Amino acid sequence: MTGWLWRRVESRLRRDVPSDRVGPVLAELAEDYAERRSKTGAFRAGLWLLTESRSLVVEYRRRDRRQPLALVVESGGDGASRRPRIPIDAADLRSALRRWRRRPGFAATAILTLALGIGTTTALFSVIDAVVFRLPPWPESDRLVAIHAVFPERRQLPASAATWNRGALSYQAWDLLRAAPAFQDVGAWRSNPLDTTLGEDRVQMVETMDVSSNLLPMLGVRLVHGRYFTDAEDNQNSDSVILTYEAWQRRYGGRSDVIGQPAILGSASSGDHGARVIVGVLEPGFAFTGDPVPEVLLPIGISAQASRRTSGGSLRLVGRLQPGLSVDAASTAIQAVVSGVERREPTTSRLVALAEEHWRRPARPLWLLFGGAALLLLIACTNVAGLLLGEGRARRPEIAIRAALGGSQGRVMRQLVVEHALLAILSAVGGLLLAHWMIQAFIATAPAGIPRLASLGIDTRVAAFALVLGALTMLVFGIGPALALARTPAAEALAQGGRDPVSRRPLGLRAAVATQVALAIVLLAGAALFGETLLRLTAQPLGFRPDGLAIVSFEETWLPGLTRAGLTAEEYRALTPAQHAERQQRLDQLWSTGWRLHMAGAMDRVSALPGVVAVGGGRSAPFLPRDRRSTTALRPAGRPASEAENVRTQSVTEGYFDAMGVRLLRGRNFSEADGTTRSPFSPNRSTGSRPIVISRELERRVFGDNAVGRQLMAGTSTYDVVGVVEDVRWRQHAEPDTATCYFFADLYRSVSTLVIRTSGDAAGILPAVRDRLRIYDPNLVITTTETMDHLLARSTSEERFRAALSVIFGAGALVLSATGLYGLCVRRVADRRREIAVRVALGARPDNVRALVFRDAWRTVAVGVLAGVPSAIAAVQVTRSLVGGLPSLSSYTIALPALVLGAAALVAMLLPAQRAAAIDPLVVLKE
Amino acid sequence: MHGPLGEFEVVVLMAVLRLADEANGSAVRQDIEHRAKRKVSRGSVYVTLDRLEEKGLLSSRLIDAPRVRGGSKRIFRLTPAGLKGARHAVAMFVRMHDGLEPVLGKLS
Repeated sequence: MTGWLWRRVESRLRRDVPSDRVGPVLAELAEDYAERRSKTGAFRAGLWLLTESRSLVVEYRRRDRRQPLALVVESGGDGASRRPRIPIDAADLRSALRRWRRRPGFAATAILTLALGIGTTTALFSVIDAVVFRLPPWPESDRLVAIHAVFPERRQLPASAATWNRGALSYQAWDLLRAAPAFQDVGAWRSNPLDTTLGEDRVQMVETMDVSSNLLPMLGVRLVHGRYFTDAEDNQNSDSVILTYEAWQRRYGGRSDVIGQPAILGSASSGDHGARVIVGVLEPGFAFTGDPVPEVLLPIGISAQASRRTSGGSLRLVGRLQPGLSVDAASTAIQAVVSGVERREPTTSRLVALAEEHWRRPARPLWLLFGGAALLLLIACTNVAGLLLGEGRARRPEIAIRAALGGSQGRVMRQLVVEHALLAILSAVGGLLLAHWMIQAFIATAPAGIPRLASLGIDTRVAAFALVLGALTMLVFGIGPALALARTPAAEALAQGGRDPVSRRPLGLRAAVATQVALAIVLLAGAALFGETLLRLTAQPLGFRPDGLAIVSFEETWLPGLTRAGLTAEEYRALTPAQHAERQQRLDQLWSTGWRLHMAGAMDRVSALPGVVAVGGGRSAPFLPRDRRSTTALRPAGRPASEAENVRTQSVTEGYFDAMGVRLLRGRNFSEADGTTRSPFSPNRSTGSRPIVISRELERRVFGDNAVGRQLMAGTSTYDVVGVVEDVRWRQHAEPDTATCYFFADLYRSVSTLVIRTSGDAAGILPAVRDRLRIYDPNLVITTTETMDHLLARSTSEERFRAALSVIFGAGALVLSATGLYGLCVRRVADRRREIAVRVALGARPDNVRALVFRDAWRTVAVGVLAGVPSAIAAVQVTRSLVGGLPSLSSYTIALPALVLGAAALVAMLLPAQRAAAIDPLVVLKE
Repeated sequence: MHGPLGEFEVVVLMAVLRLADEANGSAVRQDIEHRAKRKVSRGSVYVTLDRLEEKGLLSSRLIDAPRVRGGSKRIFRLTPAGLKGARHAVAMFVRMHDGLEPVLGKLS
């Protein structure tokens, strides 16, 4: 430790004490130090040594400064030995810091501006890095392909525009493809709807995924406990489940004896509620499809028997190509297989590299954001370049004096380079800090569907990116100003008595500002485009009143599940056969007769809450995460079954339309009197016609005009159309009108959703609703309690995310370019002070002076706008090719940015113009 | 040749004079701190010694000190001009003091 300290002290002294003096100075210091050390110990002596050496350095420096000629001497032979020529000198750093302390505004602005640009770009780079650049972890991932069914006929249908070429395949197709020579192996998976886990806890919802036995090994997913599924489990019922690592930790506390533990699952789709056995636990971080991440994996054979009977496809297939076979060749090879087996409608197939499908495709819109961030960075850079130009001008006298005293051009250059490097490093560090926050915000607000978001963060790659970015920006944008400054002819600058030389044409600064204006227009156009998209989308009529609406949804299968519901696994196992039977009987009774009372009771409890205006029940509700509507083939009475239309069905209570705010166009609503007949879902169907309410689109499609009083047939049942209601959007704002029929849920049997109309604060009422229902029936599994506003917001999360980011980028660009313009104006006014003073003295009015400033700046703005508008148009076209669902280029996507920018420019010019107008010729001309 | 000496310069000259063959920077400083009862920084003593040498009031020689860092010590002594300067400064003090005894007290 002493050695280190001494080395430091010695090097400092050798630098600042003349070389012929430094020996004795050191020797005597060392002697005193040794003495002191023996008295006070190493630590205190060390402190003493530092103070002593500091006093030597300070005094010798002060002496040097009192002798100005030393500067000249320094660059001669004597100085050379004292100051070793290393590229970066601590003195340069110190002098930079000193200057910044004197002008904190300049340094702060430059660093903040650059940090903003670097931070934004870095944040998006970290996203892209995590999502795009990393290779998938799957073994030999280049040979893995996703196999999609393609339904050419669905291409034209708006509802299936996004899904027509990525359809699921059937079991038969899977079997044939496994045998096809193109593939080494084909695995299958299926993401399941929410299932009810009846694990150790009370009833809960979890995501599950069915997988074939070969899928996990194919993807290289390893187990930390237990075994994979077996081949036999692909085709027959099985009791096995595999837990993800996360579920194991969360639900079983990472218990090591979890293998062989029971897990009881109730499945909405298959209706089985059997006890299962945990056979394996996955390694951490299983996220094959990204979203939603399943907690429990089931063998695909569980529902195989049921599914094999239907010809429809539900399987997602992943194939491993034979070595050496290209994706295209394999694609042609299997075409006939798929077309031959899927006969419900014309079907072809499409192979997509799995890495592209699940790894890169979801990231494509991110490139756009990255581009936006890069533009912002570019603006920040030009802004800082402008700042540096201005700063350089202010420093010309200083540099000139240095040069006159013998500071070489290289020496001055070195000083500037050090300053710029310092700027770059500080900006990069600030940028990283900003990026850290932005990434947090990004994770919190990003729409679903971007894979591997959770693994985002700042690692060495990202940090290196930020540093390189900082260095590059300063290199590219600092070198010009630095060169201009270092070349300043000393004589010229000094001849002007240290006053600024008037440069008539600040071309560099003008170019920088014009560039900023042009880039800002591009970014503002992006903001206008995405903003317009979002506004148009949310302005679409929904067919119901969303404000003040709350939705509560229950697990549909909770009734069968009740045999176990409300009990822990322990309690359930402890039930005696008698208790079991009694429980079952109570449930049967509830199911057959008491359900209406039960549901009506629930609805009564909710309507009694203060603030609730109306309550209705339905099988489902618009914008719920899971669309539970089913489809029925309807035809006008008297027409053959072949003319039937597939129609979405919803079952509702009489209060549903009022509570939803769905407008009744013709006819009447359901009434309690309609309830004497049976619902179509009743086990004992009665004959005779039943009432039905239809949507306007269904009326238009089937009847063309007023449908009230006419009849519809579904199978052998007849329905009287009693009313026609407005079309309602179900999943997206932009979806086309869908033909929907509303059955009367007179027995409430299929009611699993309550729609609650409140007098205002829907969010505030939700906790009370939840509590009331929990008290009323602790067994009710509530899956969703949301306000409609929230559900709607979620359905547009992607659009809102894009709009928000693009508006942030646009606003940042606007502020930066306005600041740049302001700087230009201030500089011009300063340059022309004398000229303006003379003009005022000769009778120019303040208005004339203002006009002078405006005219001067407008030229630059105009150049920027002229360059910006075509760039913006091009950028919008590129954006539209990358992101679907955007409106075509409207004139105001371009006009609005130009206008906004003009307004900002006006504001930026106002203050300098005002200052110019206030110039007093008496004061200025006397200077 | 040189202007009037500063107070500190006089003090340093006197310390060098007293220390004779021991007059290196560190000893000079200790002597001043000891007698003048005031803290002086190492740097200011060394700079002043250098300055006095440049003015020709001090001369110095190096003696080897092979076992310590730096390898040598510098011993100062007064040149004739230095001696004259010191005398001159003391005489000036005495002259200025003349008649002020009732107020300032005796020169020890």
